[in-house]
Amino acid sequence: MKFIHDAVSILRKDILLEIRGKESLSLMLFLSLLFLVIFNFALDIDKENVSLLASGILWVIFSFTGILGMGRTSMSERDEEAYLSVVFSPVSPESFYAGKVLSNLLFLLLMEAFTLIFFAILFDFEKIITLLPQLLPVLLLGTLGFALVGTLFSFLATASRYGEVLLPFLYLPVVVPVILGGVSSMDIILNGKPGGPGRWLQIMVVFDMLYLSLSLLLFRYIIED
Amino acid sequence: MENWAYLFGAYTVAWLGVSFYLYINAKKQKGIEERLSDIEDLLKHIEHKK
Amino acid sequence: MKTNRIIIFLFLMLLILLPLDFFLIFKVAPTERVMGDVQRIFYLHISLAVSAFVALTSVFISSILFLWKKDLKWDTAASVSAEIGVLFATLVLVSGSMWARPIWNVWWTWDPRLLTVLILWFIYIGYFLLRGGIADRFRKAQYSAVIGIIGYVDIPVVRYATKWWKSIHPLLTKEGGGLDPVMKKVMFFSMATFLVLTVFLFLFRFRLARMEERLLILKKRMED
Repeated sequence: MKFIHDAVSILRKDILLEIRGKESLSLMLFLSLLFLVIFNFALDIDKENVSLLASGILWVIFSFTGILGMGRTSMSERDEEAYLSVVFSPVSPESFYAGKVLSNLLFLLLMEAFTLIFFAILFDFEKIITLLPQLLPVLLLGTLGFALVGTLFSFLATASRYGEVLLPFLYLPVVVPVILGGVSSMDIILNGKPGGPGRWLQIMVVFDMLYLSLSLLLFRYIIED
Repeated sequence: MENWAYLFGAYTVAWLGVSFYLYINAKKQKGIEERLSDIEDLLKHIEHKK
Repeated sequence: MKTNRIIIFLFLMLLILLPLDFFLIFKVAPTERVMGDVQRIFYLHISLAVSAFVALTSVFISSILFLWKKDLKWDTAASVSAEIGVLFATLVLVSGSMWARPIWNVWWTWDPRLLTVLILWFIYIGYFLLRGGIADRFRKAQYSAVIGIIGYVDIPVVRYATKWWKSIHPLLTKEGGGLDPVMKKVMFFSMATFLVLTVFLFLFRFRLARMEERLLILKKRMED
């Protein structure tokens, strides 16, 4: 019970900080909008090909914008050595991790919702909104995978001399299964390809459970040194 | 048999890779061994004076 | 110095094993009917892959032991193994590419196995980038152990996901049929030779890393 309580209080702290203008979320939103514009030039998106390109474009935006957002939130913890107060407080490293995962998950999902809406508007692709109930499990499982690995690694990366720059090098190779799962299942849903996204969802569930348990075991070593 | 070049190439690259790795480390080792013995001599010298 | 003796012994053994392995691969093993002589890359390629896998398993185990025992020698063992693992994985990619060109007429194909090796190669490059960026010795060990564990666990997941991904797309590659018994024997001999090479490289590099650490400690003592 205390575990959940502590995690939720960390989440609440991050939401408050965001509202008071830490601007990590607004940064992510602008970046994803910028990405959409650049993809429009790069791929010459039109009504014919939008449905085929959508899942690839969206997951590239989700992964890169997500890294930036998560790197920033843990950077702010490092900068003010705010996380040190966790070491000396009764909050366990595990519940601190869980709280950070929840806040990262929340911000990433908000960013993704925003990106989907703008994708639908800019490329005249309403289908993506009407199919949202089916896409929701894909988004949830994929984003949870991102948040689990991203939270852990962003604390690792920001401790190094290279800071956030190192994060993509560590993070992207490890989340390859999630990106693969996200792109493929979204593609299957949007284009009505045979087979359905079932197996991909299973892979993502396994990934999420694996990394949840590993991170809970290992996060302790990143915070206490 | 132009394919022969690929066969030869693969083995050459592998052996060059491993040999190069061994070479740089052997060189490094030589340097470190020298410095180690220098420092150890120096330390002995200092302790002797004391 | 007991390790010194073992290193010398292994080196002498390699002086016999490696030429013998070459001889077996090029002279004794029969030429494959369809692929011809190029198939002989396989003995190298598979042996390197097995050795790389052994090295990375050693990273994983050493990382766990470090977090458990808090003894820096396990971290040294992990980083040395990772170095050898990256070296071999690089050679696996290169030799695989040399094989793919004449056989499939491409330098690279998005085959699940190749893709898995590539991804794990990236993970361990990240491992060294992280190590390079942290000055504190103990913190470096602790953090890289986390990557050593996470990265290794990721390999089977990547393998499975890429396999499933490819099963939707048309397959370019087909597994070769059963190997001829002589080929099989040569293959095993080659693998064994490379494993000896791996152990030799590990011990050699490990001893060097320990020396480096001793040098650092002595230097500190000098400054005091």
